[in-house]
Amino acid sequence: MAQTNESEWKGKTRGGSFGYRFFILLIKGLGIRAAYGFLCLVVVYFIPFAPKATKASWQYARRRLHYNRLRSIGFLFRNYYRFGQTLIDKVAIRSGKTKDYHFDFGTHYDEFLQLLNSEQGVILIGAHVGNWEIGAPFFDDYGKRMHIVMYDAEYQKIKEILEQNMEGGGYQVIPVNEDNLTHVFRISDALNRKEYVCFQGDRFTQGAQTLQAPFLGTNASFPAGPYLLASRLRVPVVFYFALREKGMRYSFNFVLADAPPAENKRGKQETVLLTQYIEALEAILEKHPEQWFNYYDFWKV
Amino acid sequence: MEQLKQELKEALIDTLNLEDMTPQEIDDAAPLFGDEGLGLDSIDALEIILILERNYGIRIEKPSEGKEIFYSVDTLAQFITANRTK
Repeated sequence: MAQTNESEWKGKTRGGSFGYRFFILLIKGLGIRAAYGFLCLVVVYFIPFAPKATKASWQYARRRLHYNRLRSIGFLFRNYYRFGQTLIDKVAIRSGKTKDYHFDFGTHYDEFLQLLNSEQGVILIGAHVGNWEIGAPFFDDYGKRMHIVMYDAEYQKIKEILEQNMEGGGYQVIPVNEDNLTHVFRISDALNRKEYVCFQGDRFTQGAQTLQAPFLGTNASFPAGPYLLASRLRVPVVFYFALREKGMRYSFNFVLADAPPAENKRGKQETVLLTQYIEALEAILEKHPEQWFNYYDFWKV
Repeated sequence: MEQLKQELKEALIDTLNLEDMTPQEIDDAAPLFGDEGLGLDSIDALEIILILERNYGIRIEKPSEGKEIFYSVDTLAQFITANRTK
């Protein structure tokens, strides 16, 4: 079941802080559309000059989506463009341009709010698809009770950007550091206080326990942590994805997971949860294949 | 205290799937986490949090103190003795 694996994400994301600062200036000075226009040039640059990411994107199009070569070339542009667009939108919304966008809260929003109001801790599991952070300003008071679990390297990077250029998203961050166990105590403490803990269910770093399961037709590795935690703590789980739609629009998708049966043995419950997560994620990717933003060989088991 | 430590070791072996170990093989003072000692990981830490809640009615109030409390069987037993509600 659980094993250590080599296809892990390296803990860092491309795009130095110069790039971020430049885009922030562009958005503030000339507007969102100008930033999108400039993004087209950046995409053309990234395809040859970020070969590892381009290769991962290409293999995803060819092997997982079964696109032919011509369609895969088009896919590379769309994939990078969407990725850049989500970054621009994130900055634009953080700097107060919320009115330029439309947001659709989906069919399960009321059930989701009921859960948040139900006086128990809730675990949210997302993925590196679309733009999960974009929802933060809408959760207002709920946001103050949200704890985002992220890898320390990822946190150190965005920490600086958050502090320098934008207001925080209103949520708290729990950095994961296997050398000290503080994150485990903080997660358990937050849920005991009936607050909300958010994970990304698709990435792990070297040495982490993983679970293997078929995903888009081939076995892939997922981090064991979020699924083990959620099944052991027996709190409600919601899968959450925010997707960029056409015409300055975002859709929020909430999928309430069924609680795994209590009599299931350890080793089964987390698999039941992971299977539901993969189903939800595959349904999202069927509609928005170009919003898959894991730029490494995800299927190398 | 000795009885509590024995009870704790049995719970650890049972819950953390350490079936190939006996309570005698777990040193009271050895670190539970990290490369020395038992080498447990963060998911195991979560299981121990649940053992404390379920068996002794204890919740860790300050996350920052958790690592010291979870250092060894000795430190866990001391914490349980001082805080147990059942």
